[in-house]
Formats: sequence, C-alpha cells, structure tokens
Amino acid sequence: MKVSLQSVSKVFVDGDRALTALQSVSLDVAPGEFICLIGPSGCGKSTLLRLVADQIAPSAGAVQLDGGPPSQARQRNQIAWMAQNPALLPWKTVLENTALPQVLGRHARQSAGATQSAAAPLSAGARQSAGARQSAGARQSAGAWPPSPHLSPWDLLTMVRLSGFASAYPQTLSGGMQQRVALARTLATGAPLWLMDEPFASLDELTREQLTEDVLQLWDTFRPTVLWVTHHVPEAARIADRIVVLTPGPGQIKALVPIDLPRPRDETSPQMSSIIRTLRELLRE
Amino acid sequence: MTQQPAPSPAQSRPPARIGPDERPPHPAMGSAGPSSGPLNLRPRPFRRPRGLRPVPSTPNGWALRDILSVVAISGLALLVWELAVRLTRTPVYLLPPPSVVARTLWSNAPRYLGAMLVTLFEAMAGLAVAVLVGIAMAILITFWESLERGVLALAILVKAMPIVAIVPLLIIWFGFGPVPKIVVTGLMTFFPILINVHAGLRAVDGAVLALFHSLNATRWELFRHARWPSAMPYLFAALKAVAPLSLVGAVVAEWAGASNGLGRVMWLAYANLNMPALFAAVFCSAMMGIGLYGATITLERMVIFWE
Repeated sequence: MKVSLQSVSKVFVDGDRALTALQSVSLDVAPGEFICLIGPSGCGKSTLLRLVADQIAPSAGAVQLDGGPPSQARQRNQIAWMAQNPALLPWKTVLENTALPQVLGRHARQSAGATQSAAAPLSAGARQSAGARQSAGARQSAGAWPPSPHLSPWDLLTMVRLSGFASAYPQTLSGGMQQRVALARTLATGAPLWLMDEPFASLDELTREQLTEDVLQLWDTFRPTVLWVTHHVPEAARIADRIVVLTPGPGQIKALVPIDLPRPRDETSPQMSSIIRTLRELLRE
Repeated sequence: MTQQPAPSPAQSRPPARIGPDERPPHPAMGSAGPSSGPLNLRPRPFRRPRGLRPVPSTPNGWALRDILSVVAISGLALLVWELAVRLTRTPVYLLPPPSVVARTLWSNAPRYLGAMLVTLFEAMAGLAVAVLVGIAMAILITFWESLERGVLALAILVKAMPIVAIVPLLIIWFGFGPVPKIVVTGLMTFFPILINVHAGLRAVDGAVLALFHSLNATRWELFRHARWPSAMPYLFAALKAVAPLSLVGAVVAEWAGASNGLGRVMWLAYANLNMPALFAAVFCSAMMGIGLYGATITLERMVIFWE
C-alpha cells in the first residue's frame, strides 16, 4: 500500500494552550517499503502513526493511503495496528485472539451486505480492495498476499512458533510470547499496511531482537508496507529500508536515511556502524 | 588468583581464566555453573515463603484449615456469649443464650424454614430486577454518553432516598404481598450494580480500543468482545456487596407489614418480647447472607474463568 503525507500538520488544543505536534510533514512511502520513524520522545512519531491509522485527523494537509483517505483504508480492513501493549483479550484463548481480525471482519462484511444503506458503498469498496490485493499479489513474485484467506489462525500461530499454545490464555504467556500472538493477529488482518508503534519496547533486549527478526522474516514473505516507530537506533538501522528522523517541538522531518544493505545486517559491520553513528548525530543535533 | 576487583562473598571459587580482552564476570554470577546463561544470578537455596504451604483443599476451594478456623472462632464466640449470659444471669427477654436460641430454632424449624424461603424469594426477585435494570442502564449510558449525567443524577436521587421512610407508602400502594418487598430490595441494591458495571464497561484498555478501531469493529462488536467481559469482575464485586444486602432490604420491607417472612417473624417476636425467636430469625437471615455470598463467589469463579 502506498502511503503519502502531504504537508501534514497536527495541533493539539488543550483549553487555551495549543501544542504543535507535527508541522508540514511530507513523506511518500512506496508499497512494500519498510520505514522506521525515529526521534526523541515527544517528536510526534506516534502522532504521525495515529494520523495514518485514522485514529486522529490532521489539522492541515492530507494523508493518503493508495490515493484514498485513511478512513477508507481502515473500513476496508487494510490497516493493521500493533503497539507496545499487545492488547490481547484475557477471556479469549491465544487462537481466538489470533482469529479476532477475521471474526470482526466477517461481521463487517455481513453488515455491509445487509439492508443498511450506509454500508452499501462499503461492500463495494471491499470488493474493489480484494481486486486491488489480487493485482498486488500478482505483481509480487511471492504471490502470498493477502495471508488471511489462505492462512488459518492455526497457520499463523505456527509461523510465530506458538502452535503449542493455541488453547492457552494470554496472561499465562511471557511478554515476548504475548507480542508474538499480537504479531500473528496482525498477520490475520491480511492488511497491506502495518503500523507498529514501538511494538517491542517493553521487552528485554534478547527477546526484542528475536521478535524483530521474526517481523523481518514475515515482512519478507508477505511484503506489507511497514511504518515502524522506535527510538532504538540500532534496531532501526537493522530493519529499515528507509529511516525517517524527526525533530521535536514541533515535529518535522530532519532527514531521510535510506539503507541499501542486504538483510540480515550485522550491526558491527563498518557500513552499519557508520550509519548508526550518522543517525545518532542527527538525533543529537 | 588473578587480580580481581572487589572479590565478593558470592565468589566461592576463582573464575576460569580470563583472557586479555574479556572482562571479569560480574561478582553476582561468579559461582554460577557453566550451564547457566550470563543472566542467571547466583542461585540461592529456595525457601518457601510463609503462608504458601500447600494445604489439603476441599473441592470448592476451601482449605480444611479455613473450615477449622471458621468453626473454632464462631464456636468460641458462641461459648463466650453463653457463659457471659449464664454467669451474669441476664434475663432471657434482654439477651437469650445461644442454647435457648438453638432450641427455639429447632422446635419451630418448619416455621423458620418457611419464613426463610419467603424472604429469600423476595430478596432474589428484587436483586434480579436490580441486576437487570442496573446493567441495562449502565449499557445505555455507555452507548449514549449524553444520557450519563441525567441517568446518574436520577440514580443518586434514588440512592439518597431514606428507603425506610417510603416503605409504608409502598405497602399502601402495593399491599402486603411480595411486590413492595421486591421494590425495596431492588431500590437498595441497584445503585452499586449500575455504578460498578458502568465503570467496568468503560475500563477497556486504550490499546484494545485502538485495536478494535483499526479492525473497523462496530460498537456492538466492541461491546460483545471487550466491554462486556471486562465488566464482569466489576459486576461481581458489586454482587458480593449487594447479595447479602438484598436480604436486609426484604427484611426491612417485611418489618413494615407482611403476612410472612423473616421480617414478619422478627416484628412479632419484638411485639411479644420473645427474644429467642428474634435471635433465631436473625440467625436464619445471617446464614442466608453467608450462603448468598458463597453462591456469588462460586458463580464468579465460573463466569470469570480467566483470572
């Protein structure tokens, strides 16, 4: 999915105080690109992600996903959201949590086909999007997209190595395993756009690296467009096709750093070291 | 021994050879075996914390120890009561000893049982109405937030009303049958249910809301999959407080005028200064309260299986 931000600004108004979180941010993301957004805390990277996710509306400028507004993409179930909190439902098993996007999606499709007049354009949109997905799949040699119609929640759990825990309840799992369930659930959406807001920030370093590798593998298989917010510089350098460095107060794009190195990348290699050093300097300035 | 910065008591043996580029291990991992990873801190002998010893338990989760403690404490209390009454020669119309209360209870068992059933029915009917109305109103004000202020104002008005004062009025309206008792019980118990369920329905985590939003879930789906289950612990917290209270509501209403029930029995006992009968009725009411509390907890364990 193509993501395009055209001089997007976001101002939060709290009483008589106004806080500019983002100021005329323009960014174009190609389909299948892996983008990392880094910057110091409070620079508006999460705000940017929430704008793309249709959780908030921009104060100025426009966000476009495949040429349409984010709300349209969201209503067509084209956006997968994953955050630091795995947001698993404790009363559902791991399998049920994984299948949640498909359960909720089915309801949406049913209501779209029902008598509700407001839902009629939505069902047409759903059909269009299915066609778009197919053509996108044809363009890619893998042809695995979208995963949801072909892959059952079982398959997805196997992918994240949790098939043995399908009937467990999430609170019995470790933090890393919970995030793997969230990852399987993200896959289950079948969405061509993954918005990930520091997904592994609360995990320990080893688990975090392992899970980041898992995401890279899944991304390589399904080739979604990924917007990944982090403040972990080596992580960003390891995974991204392009890194967007943001400055704080108000958030603006300071630099776009493309990384054209094959994966898996070794942080200690000279090129990587120099990239990481460049990024650190950009952040410090 | 090679040069070691600050050898600590944790280091029981010298570490293996340290190469020129290797840092000495942290003192905390000095004695860890080769199988333990670098994060494994020095193992300490495991000591079981006090109070965590496994105890033989009965099927419903009560440990034998708990039952013994209940029997012992209440037995002791009854014994003190009995002795105090007998030693001070307190007349029976002021405070009857437990043995006399027990005898009264035993010789009039069918009467007390009948009264208990009448009161229990009224309390349960009132509680059921309160649960239904409380949940319905909580759902209403969760879905339509603009109604929240108005509904809560009305609920607080009802809650603040001295219900005892309007019981006679209710009896004038609805007669001596079960209806005024059900109404009083419902009025007394619905407010905590409304407030708690409302809080529970809104207690859904922001991350879950964001997830459901991204999945384009409808409000109904959000309610069914997230809000309703999240409200269950809150509902049961209210029920635990309110289930014994429902008996109080029924008894208070019976007190003001009834043909049967524990409240009626108590009122008659007062009128005749028959304290053993009064205490027998109070005992019946207390036992039912304990039973209702236990039933609520059992139901809670069945409904909230995930905690």
